[in-house]
Amino acid sequence: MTEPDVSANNYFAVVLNAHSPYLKSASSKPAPEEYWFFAQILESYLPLLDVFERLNNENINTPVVLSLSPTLLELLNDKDLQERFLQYIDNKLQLIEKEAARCMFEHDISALLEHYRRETKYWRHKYTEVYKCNLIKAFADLHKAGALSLITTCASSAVLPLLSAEPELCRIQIETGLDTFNKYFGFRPADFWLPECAFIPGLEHLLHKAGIKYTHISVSSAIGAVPYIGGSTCRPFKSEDGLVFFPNDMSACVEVWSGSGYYTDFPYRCSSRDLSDDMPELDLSSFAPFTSERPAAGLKYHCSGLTDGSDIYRMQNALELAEYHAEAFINSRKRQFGQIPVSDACPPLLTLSLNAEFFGLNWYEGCKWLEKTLRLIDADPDLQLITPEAYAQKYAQSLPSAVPNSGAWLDGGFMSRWINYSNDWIFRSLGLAHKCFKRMAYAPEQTEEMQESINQALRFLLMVQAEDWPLMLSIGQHANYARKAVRNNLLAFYKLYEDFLNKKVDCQSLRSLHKRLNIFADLNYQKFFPPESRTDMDINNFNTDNNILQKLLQFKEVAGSVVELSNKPQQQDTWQKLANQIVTAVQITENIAAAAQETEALKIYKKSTAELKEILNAIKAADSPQQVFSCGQKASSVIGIWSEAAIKVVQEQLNRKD
Amino acid sequence: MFPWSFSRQGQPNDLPDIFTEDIFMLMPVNSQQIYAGWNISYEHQNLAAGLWGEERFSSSRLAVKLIFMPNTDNFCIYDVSGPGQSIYLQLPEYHKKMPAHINFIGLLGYCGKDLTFLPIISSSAVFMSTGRVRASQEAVLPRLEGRLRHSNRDNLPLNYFDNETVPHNPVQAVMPFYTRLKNTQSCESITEDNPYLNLEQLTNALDKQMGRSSVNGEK
Repeated sequence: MTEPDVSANNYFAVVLNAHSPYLKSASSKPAPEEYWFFAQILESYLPLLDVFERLNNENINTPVVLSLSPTLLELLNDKDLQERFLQYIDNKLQLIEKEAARCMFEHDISALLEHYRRETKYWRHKYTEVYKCNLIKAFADLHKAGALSLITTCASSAVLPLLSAEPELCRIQIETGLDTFNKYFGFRPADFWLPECAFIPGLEHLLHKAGIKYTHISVSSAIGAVPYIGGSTCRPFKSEDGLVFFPNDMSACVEVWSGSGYYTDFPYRCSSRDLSDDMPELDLSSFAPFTSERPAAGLKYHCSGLTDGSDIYRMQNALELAEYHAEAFINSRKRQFGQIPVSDACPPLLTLSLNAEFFGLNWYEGCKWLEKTLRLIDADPDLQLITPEAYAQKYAQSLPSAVPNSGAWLDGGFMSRWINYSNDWIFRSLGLAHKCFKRMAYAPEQTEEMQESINQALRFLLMVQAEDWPLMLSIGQHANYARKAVRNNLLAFYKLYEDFLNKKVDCQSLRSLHKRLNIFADLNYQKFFPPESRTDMDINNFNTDNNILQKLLQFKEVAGSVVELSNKPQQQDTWQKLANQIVTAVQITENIAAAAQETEALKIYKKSTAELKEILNAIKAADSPQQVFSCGQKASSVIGIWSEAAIKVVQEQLNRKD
Repeated sequence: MFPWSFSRQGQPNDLPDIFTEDIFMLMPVNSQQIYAGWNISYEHQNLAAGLWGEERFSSSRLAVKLIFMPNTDNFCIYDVSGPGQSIYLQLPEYHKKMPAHINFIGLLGYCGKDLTFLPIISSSAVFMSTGRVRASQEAVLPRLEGRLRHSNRDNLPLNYFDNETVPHNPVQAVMPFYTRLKNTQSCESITEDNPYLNLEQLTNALDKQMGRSSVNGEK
């Protein structure tokens, strides 16, 4: 085979997304779900930190992008969880000792347990002595050293297209994410990870307004971009606002993480066979003393297939294979670059986006593979590792302009993973909760206690919006926990809403709810719903934006008033009232047009609105009350025509009602 | 306290109706299905009944009307009367040659026998990927090296796209709306003789709508 023609300007970017839902238990004792988070730290975050530190110490250039989700940052910063994590490690070490005694005559497993013992002790030492239990600082140090480029994502990793009907809540997710990141790292990143790479047109404006310059999208969003820009996943592009989109490269991802990806090969450790499942008779009470459930112990003895006739995991074989797969991956990428048509404008960029927890937790040898891959890229003159931000700074001017299609990175870009029969009830409940929250946020008179109560309600709402619950329900993993999480957060939200409707704040209950969900301490809904925006709102008569029926009834009332006032030219002050009523009529017709959007009556709505506006201008320019009333007559005529022509059906019914 | 019951494995049977809020949401599931969920307060049901009169109202059906943009003469009506307050709507079949996305809004209301429609509440605009535009050859390379085992595990599918594709030149693509939906009344302007919309018009309209899409809500 001939070597592909590869030029020096072949850029490669690695983007990792680290995320955990907010799993902290409200009780003072550890809960089983917290063990998922501890496993993430022990098996993914600590090994990844180790890889990047080692590469950095050897002066190997590794500008890898790592997104740390705001909920993950809050969990990592939690002192209770830091203590419980140490307890988790100690319990695990005890379990290893017990297992070593039980398996002392099984040579392969004993050797593996010895490895687990050394490894766990090493991570404990690093966590306590090197990082002082502060992983956020460890990530920040690597960022300062240039070994990692840290970015963030939405507050609770909500899939934004699913919230697109409520742009304010999308904005809260984005801004709260950036604010939380800023609190821990002291800067707002220009790059932003979209949860599940889920995008919907229009989102680019919200991201741009939040000061974001770069983001990452799925293949499906990139190839359906409008206008069509070639269907390539190696060509970033930008929106009219200048927001640069980096498509995830499908080939690179599929090679690593898919049903036929590297990690499924048989010598690798099988991540789904845990000791707690393999040996249901084994007593795990010392490992998880506070629960009757059996959380994963993290002790895995088996590989994905058979090696030498046995399915016991042999680490040395697997690590050698990981190195071989790193070389195969690089060769494959070089071949891919060789097939990309040369563009004069800007060189191709391949972006490999993966979940950070995939390395270690799902693919035990993944960290080794990543380290080897980064070393090979660094040593290869034909490939250059770059951050998307650095690429955009070089080539932003020559990138084509387009808006990505809607899409996400699973299920061919569709939303069937997040909306299906198992989880759709969440979104209906959320739709109602969003309306209730807006009612709270727009309330005109808000005491300090009430403001704190609304902030706490918003925290619960953000938790319900997390992408994790529908996903858990959809794949049937930890489904009961997901149901419980959604239910409890919604009930807490409605408890606060009920208090709000009753115009009382139960301070004791609020404190208790705050203790239960103590996250995003600086969250302030007034940043998104400023006081001036709610001055004209009447809480008792709060019309939802799109309630057409109410607006039609309201219009009928105003129309009647205009007709009545027009027939009373002799009265003083009437002209001012008339003008006010016509202004209201214009507003309502505009609202109806906006609410009804593209209905068949829209043209007539628009025409009437324009005519009413003209009449209004004539009223403003009128010299005498007679001219005003003449205008009023015209207005009532226009309104009459509008009523008759545009909503024939409704008008007919209105007359019937009369 | 709340009229909720979590009898079904912690899943709420219904939304609390004490707050008299109307909601109507449309969420695309895949290229053919959208989820519609709603809640209409008794107050507004009574208002609608009052407007139409008991006799006419009782013969009307709760319905969802989807209005496709930019040609608003394209619409279809789904009968959604029934015990539930959510449904998965099957969209009209598309022609093979079509653009990457479609755009529509929904109205929830009552549909009379004479097909007059009394809207109660509208959804936000829905921007939906059709999935008919595929990745080009360049984007997908087979895994050539290091292949030890093919697994049929389908629990982690990525963005696989087949190579049976539509033309990548969007000007060639057109968008049809067929008229054979169950429980659907389609527009008159789309006929069997002329089942297509002009993509140029569609693209222009979509470009304009980018600025006022469902997310940013601006015109």
